[in-house]
Amino acid sequence: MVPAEIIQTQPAQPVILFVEDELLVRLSVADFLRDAGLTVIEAGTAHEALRVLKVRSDVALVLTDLRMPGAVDGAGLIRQIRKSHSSVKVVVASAFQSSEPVDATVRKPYSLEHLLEVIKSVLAR
Amino acid sequence: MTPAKSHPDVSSRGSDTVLLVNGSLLVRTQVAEYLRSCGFRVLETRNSDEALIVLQRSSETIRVVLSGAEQGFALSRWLRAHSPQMRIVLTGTFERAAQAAAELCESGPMAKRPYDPQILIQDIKASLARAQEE
Repeated sequence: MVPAEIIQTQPAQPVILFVEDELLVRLSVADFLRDAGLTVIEAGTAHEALRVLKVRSDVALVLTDLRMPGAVDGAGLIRQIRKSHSSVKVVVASAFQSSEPVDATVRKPYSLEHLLEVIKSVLAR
Repeated sequence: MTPAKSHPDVSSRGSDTVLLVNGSLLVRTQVAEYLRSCGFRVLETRNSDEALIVLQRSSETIRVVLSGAEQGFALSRWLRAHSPQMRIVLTGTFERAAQAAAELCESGPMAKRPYDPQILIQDIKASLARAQEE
């Protein structure tokens, strides 16, 4: 009988939590990052992202937009990450500047290749 | 270059793509990971509105739609009218979603389950329980 605890196989690839409310952008970017060897968890809102972080301890980096619908926006998500998940790195992908300290910012519009370079660079630190 | 709010092509890779529709993030994420570990490409959507965006706007060749029952009935109607050849599997519970994922894997790219779906069910239960903790 398997005990009732989260059994997470250790992924060979780093785990990225990608937060983006626009569906087709989310699907396309996530697909690209998976092809590049990353494990990607998708969240459509900051609330969903926080829910993932609450139950998973293997997220290495959060890639997030700033402007998202819901009670918590990207800035609120970043604050919560800094407060409760301090080992998780944060990369912002947005047309706007983050008011919160982050590990890197990728300004929209971005190329997927550049986004990947930035993510790899942050993960390597 | 990816524009900020464009609709990039979600390119097709033949018939190894599953469109997953589930309103529960934790269930959706874990079922999607299970399917990916047996070789499927998985497009994750939260509801029938998102699923229809994928179905209508992408050139995907989707092998099967795996949907929670609540969202699936609306999708079934749309598929019957527009893509009657596309298979949809409706799952009323996450246990059923896990079993359906395992069955899909048996006929999937690797022709085998990555592991016992009971483990996936246990994982989902544990995630949901942990998410409820204060």
